[in-house]
Amino acid sequence: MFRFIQIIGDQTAGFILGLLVVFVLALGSLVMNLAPEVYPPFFMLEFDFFFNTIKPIHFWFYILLGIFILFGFNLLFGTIESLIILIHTNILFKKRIAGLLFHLGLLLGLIAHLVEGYWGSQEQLFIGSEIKQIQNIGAVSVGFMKKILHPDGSTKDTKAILKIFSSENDFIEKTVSYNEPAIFDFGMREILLLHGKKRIKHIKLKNSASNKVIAFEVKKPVKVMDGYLVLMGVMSKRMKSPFGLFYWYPPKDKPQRLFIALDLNNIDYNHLTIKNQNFDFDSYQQEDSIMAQIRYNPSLYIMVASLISILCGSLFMLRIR
Amino acid sequence: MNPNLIFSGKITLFIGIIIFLILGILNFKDKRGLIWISSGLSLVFFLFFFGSRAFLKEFFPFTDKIESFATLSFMIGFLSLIYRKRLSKKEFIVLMLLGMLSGLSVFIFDDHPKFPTPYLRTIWYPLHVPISFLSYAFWFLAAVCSSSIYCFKKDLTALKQNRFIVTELNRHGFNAFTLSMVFGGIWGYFAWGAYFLWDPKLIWSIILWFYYGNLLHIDNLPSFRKWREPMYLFGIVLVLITFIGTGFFSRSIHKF
Repeated sequence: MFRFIQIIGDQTAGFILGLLVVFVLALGSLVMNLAPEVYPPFFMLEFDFFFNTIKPIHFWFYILLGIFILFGFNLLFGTIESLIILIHTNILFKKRIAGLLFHLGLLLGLIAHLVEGYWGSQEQLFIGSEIKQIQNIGAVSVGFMKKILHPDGSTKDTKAILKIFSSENDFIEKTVSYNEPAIFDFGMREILLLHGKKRIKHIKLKNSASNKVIAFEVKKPVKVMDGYLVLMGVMSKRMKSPFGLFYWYPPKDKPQRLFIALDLNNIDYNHLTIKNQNFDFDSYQQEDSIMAQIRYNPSLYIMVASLISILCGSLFMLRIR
Repeated sequence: MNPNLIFSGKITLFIGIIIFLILGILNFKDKRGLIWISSGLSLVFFLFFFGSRAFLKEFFPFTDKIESFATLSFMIGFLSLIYRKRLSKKEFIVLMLLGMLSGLSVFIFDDHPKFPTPYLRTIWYPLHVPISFLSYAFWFLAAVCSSSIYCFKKDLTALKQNRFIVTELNRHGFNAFTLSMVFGGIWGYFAWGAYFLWDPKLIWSIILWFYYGNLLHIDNLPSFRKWREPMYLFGIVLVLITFIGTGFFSRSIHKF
């Protein structure tokens, strides 16, 4: 049995596998850099990405996974061998303990990545004043958001207060900012701030013929005469007044893009004309909103154990002379 | 940002770097007293440079390529000074020249200091990045020492001593890099919800970690021992890809 453990946990095999990991990771990095249309610039460790649609271009990942599995076994048996030797010799060599803790940490790290890659999840969504239902966290809305700027106008920090509702009137507040996520389930679930901004809630236009005021919310079509008018968004950068972008969908024609200044003083541009009818800008309302990342990582505690083991290994290593 | 302060910062950096060359010469001539004085002066000039940048950006430690190359220069120079007594004079002067080269490359780039992005405003950043630069410096020292092994072919004691130093340098470099990765992982978890992303800089950091971790085992493997020195030298190629290549030639979120 010990011989079997020695063969699987052989250091030479581990060395070769380690070099293979280096080679395949380098290859993978090259492939990802050459195929930006396949690999988004900011994506996490999720196996679904590679396995939902199996593509030949992901070949490096499948090889990497195979090598890591072999490497994991090598580490496991190498660690068991070290442990057996440690128990039998009963001598606590710093070098051996450091190695043992390091390898144990690495093994746990590999398992954590496997668990995270298989069961972990992430999604991005806008959260505003309207309540959003987030699975396993609850109903969430943004109560307040504040941006802190540098003297040159770039963002220094953003703080937002999230309301997390347990019932209609009961809620708790959690603050999120860059590097300070709202944490749930002892850290396994997080709401992270990606960026915060004022988002248009609605724009009100007045039909000059009927004097009727219509409220438009983003991407919610409103029936106007025989067609539909949709508010697509607001542009405010490098302009005197913010502009609202609308799409007008006539019944039997192509959609048209229409712009309107959201400023009562900008009389040249603060109205839309559709089929000879004028729609004048009346008012608009903004809301605090954040782009959030909802993250679930079930492997957190395995990773923490891995880090502790590696750090302890590091401490022993520092004492080696 | 104040252009005069940017200019004076770079002038002091230049002087700090040039002192490295003087240090190499002084060490060659065994002028110990002058080495101490020159080291102190260089340190003051470097600190003025880093201080002026921190003042301008309202942030410490460093965020752009100018400061990154200056930091690498600082780390190589001062780590070589710490190890000076255990290095040969030739090794020391080569390292000082490397430190100088890294520092002088600062003057190739246009310098437009900017305020840091909000993600950098965390305790994990100063713990993560400078420590990783320290490990790069350890590996530069290990590579230079391992290359000089070809000079000691007939001197077995020197050969043994050199191998011992190289392994020790790698062990410290690996340890520092491990710490840096642990801190980086914690930062990543708070900033992006993940300790690992498929980002070129992170992938190459894992590559470095595996590579140098693997090299720690090479002394126990007689069949690979002849590859030891070439592998330490090749390691520098990997360090340079991680440090420079991913910043310049990839779509990494780590600009530097």
